[in-house]
Amino acid sequence: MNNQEAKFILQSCRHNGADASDPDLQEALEHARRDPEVGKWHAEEQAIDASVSRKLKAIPIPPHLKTNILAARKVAPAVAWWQQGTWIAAAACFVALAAFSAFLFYQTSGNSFTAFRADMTAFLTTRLDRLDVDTSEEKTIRTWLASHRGHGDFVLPERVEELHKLGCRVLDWKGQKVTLLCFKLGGPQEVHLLVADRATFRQAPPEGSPQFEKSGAWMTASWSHRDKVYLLAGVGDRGTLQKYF
Amino acid sequence: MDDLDFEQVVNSFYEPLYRFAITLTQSEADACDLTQDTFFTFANKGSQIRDRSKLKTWLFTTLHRKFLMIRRHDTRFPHLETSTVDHELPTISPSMVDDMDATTVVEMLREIDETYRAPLVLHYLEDHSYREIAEILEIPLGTVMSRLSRGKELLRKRLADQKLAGFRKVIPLPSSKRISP
Repeated sequence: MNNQEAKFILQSCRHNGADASDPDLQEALEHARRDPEVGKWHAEEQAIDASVSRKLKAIPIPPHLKTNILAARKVAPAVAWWQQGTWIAAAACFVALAAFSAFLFYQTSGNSFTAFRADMTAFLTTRLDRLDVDTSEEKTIRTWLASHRGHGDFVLPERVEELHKLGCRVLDWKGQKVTLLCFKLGGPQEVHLLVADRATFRQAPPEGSPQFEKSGAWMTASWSHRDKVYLLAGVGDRGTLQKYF
Repeated sequence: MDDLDFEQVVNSFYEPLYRFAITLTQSEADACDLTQDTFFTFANKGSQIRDRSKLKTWLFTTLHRKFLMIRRHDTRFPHLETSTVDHELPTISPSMVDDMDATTVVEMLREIDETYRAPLVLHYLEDHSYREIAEILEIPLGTVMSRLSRGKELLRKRLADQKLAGFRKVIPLPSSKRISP
């Protein structure tokens, strides 16, 4: 091992000595002990690392953060009795019966668009952790959607069409396929478009001008076009979305 | 997982998670959102973690993935690249870093590309070995070492430039020594 190789490896050593017994670092650490130049360099590096580490650990924590985290726990699903084995058989029958009943209900009476909007914005808030396809190419998105039971023939307002696309995902909502398209705005902000079959809903939003509705932290705009319903969602106020229509 | 268990996990990890998040994101609000979202996911899925010794890694991995989802194509920060020729690292000393406030150091870190920033921050937050960093960021061990090496070089350059910029500030003369027009 030469000095350059030793230095390269030693840069991965934590300054607090926690890596002293790491077998893959031993040779480099031994080299530093034997070679005065490398040893001096390593000591200086570790001292600088210690200073930077102190600065990072001095980053203040917002006083409300822990409270908010613990408060959010209250709305997370508990894990308790239904995990017990004795309940599973009875629960399975009940769930099957309930699901069949719900299937019959929704088949005959249609779904609520209000519920769809609430469910989708809740999903965007808490469960959007990946896309099925990460791409800015519209053609790729359409092709993928068409082959994965999504809505590859979506029609976008002109100004939404101009936004930088991030990708897509196909979701399931009450047995119906919903297409999710993500677009990038300035900075880290995004806006999301959900597309579903119009026939899914008892009362789909009207054609023409979008209907604006606040849903949690999200401002939404919804409209119908031919056989589809569109729901555009962005964090902010009406002005956040108005400019796209 | 009961409430006490969840609170214990929060107590143990919310501060280092937040500090990791703030160096990745633009703002305190975004960092809080990322941290809270990570614990929300933990509340929903934490019971699936069989090996509790992996909990720290799981939390940091989850946060980092969520950050990547948010960032994706964000090119807000310019890449700060030096030449491919190996240079001597800019001369800085521990006392130079000690004299800077934490905000400045964090700003210097934020100016480094996320590719190098994430492993650097995990390294400096000290709780993570290079093996853990590889697991959290889902990259090979050799890549971690390369990025730490490169990242330190970039950070030192930024710190040295920052120090130099401080020396170049115009210092107003006392009134008795000002030149009369």
